[in-house]
Amino acid sequence: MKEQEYAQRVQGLKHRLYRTARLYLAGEAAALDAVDEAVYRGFLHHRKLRRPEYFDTWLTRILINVCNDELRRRKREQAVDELPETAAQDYDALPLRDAVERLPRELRAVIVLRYFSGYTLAETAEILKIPAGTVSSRQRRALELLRLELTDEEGGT
Amino acid sequence: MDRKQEYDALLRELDQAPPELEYTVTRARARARRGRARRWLGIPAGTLAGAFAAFVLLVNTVPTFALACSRLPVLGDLAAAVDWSGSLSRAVEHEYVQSIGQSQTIDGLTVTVEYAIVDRRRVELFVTTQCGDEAYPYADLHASVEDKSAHTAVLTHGSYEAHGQLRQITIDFNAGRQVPEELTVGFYAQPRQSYGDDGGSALEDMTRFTFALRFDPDRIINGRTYEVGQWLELDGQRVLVDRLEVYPTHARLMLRDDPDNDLRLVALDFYLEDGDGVRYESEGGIAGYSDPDTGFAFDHRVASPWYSEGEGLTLYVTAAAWLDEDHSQVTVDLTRGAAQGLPDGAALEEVRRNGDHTELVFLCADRGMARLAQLFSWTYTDPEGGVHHSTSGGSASDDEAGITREMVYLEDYPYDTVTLTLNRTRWGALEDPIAVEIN
Repeated sequence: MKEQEYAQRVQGLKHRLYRTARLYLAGEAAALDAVDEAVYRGFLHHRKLRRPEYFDTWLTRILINVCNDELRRRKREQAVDELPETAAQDYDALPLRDAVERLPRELRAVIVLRYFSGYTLAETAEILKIPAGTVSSRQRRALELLRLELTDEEGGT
Repeated sequence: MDRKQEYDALLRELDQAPPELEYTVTRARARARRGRARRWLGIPAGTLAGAFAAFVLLVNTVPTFALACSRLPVLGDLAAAVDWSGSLSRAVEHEYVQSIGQSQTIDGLTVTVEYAIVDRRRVELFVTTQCGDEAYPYADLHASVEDKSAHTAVLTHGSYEAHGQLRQITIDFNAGRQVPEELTVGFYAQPRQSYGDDGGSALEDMTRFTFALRFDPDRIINGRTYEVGQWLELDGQRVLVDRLEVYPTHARLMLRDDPDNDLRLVALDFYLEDGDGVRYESEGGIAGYSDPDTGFAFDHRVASPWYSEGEGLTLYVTAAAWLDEDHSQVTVDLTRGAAQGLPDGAALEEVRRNGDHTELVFLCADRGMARLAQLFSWTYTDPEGGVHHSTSGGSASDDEAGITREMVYLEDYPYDTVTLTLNRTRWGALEDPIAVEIN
């Protein structure tokens, strides 16, 4: 992929990247930094992307990796503030944004990609490199914890 | 508000992205360019500025040449690695490649010099890494040459790569220095868990590999020189086109200044065209050199017509940028958003202040000159005379409109005014390109 095409594709994807990072990292500044970092890493490697049809999932996967790096860094610096999956009543008591941000990371990734960034189940599986069935089960579990009733169609289709 | 209403409200809220998101690609470009420039200026020698100041542009993509990799199975990976460069692609197509195959392993990390493309003035090395620890699938690698002469410079293209990926290192020889048959090259390498994981290790903390490389003297082309000796009148100034040097890896257009000129040439836009109508334009990477004493840009690099089959080579000069040192300072009132001393064609669009971080946005009607020279230097002065160096900046060009938006970032800057230094005060495309017959 050439540089100009890369720039154009990022322009079309940047808001989706921001939404993903915003909820995944729980902070505007951190989300912007993560998007910048992902776009930079993508920039370094865009010439090797031979199949442009995978651009969105490719760059989003880079973003998720950047976010995970950041979460690991935070974990070293401060106590973990994710709630355990068993604390269903605690999620219920939180505003939705806070509840999403405090989901265990693997559930949060699925719910953010599916219902806030609009990726399909297959795309989400591709981004996270996990089987579609695993996406499906994590999605179901996360929606239960959030007390949120959303259909598959309300996620990316 | 029930959960579904909360969900809908949160979706709407997430649609409100910060305005900084708009320039994420610009920042990525600037950061990539900065990385290259830093390595270029930092690794070869602290004395680089003693004799020459180099300017480095972003590596631009060029139309990928249609090499049938099946025809050259051994060089297929090399062809892919150089597809950004017409010069190197043609060299590979003509099998002008030396197979090196030297490896060293230290602490489980292996560096292999796979190939070299060598002519009398430049060495292009292609290197891979391997690591026994699967937790580290990438490596950071920088190169340097033992000879710390100011006349040899090293450019590492893309220091982060996955193991097995070819990375390119350019070693450029100047001021009459020629590529020797034996060259000692040092590589600083460090395994990485992910690419872009630029923890910022200092070179001295990385593992050093030293290779004594010996090139095949029968496969070092000397190049050819076309003496031109023609004066050009450009924007009321005079510049002598002294000669064109053509090597397989690149071509060098060498200019001389007229001491009577009022302005200093800082950038030249031009291309070569052969008799078949094939154009050879700037490929980015090492763009040329300017004299640090006068600032005159005397050495300009362009794609090589070495393998041209079209008879007759013509130089077309299309645009130039100049600096008037007496009018190179621009003072910006950050509270009022007003700038004094801007050259014609440039305007201050916006001042964004966020605590001690300030972003200045300039609009410049420059018809693509930003590709050749940024409007501002990244060194700026506060009202007390303190000199600061910006660590980031960037530009975005609207080629159709001929406008560039250039950003200057002032970090930890509490003052209300700043003085910026222009890299160019006058620029423009020529109404008609000036043609100079080379041969």
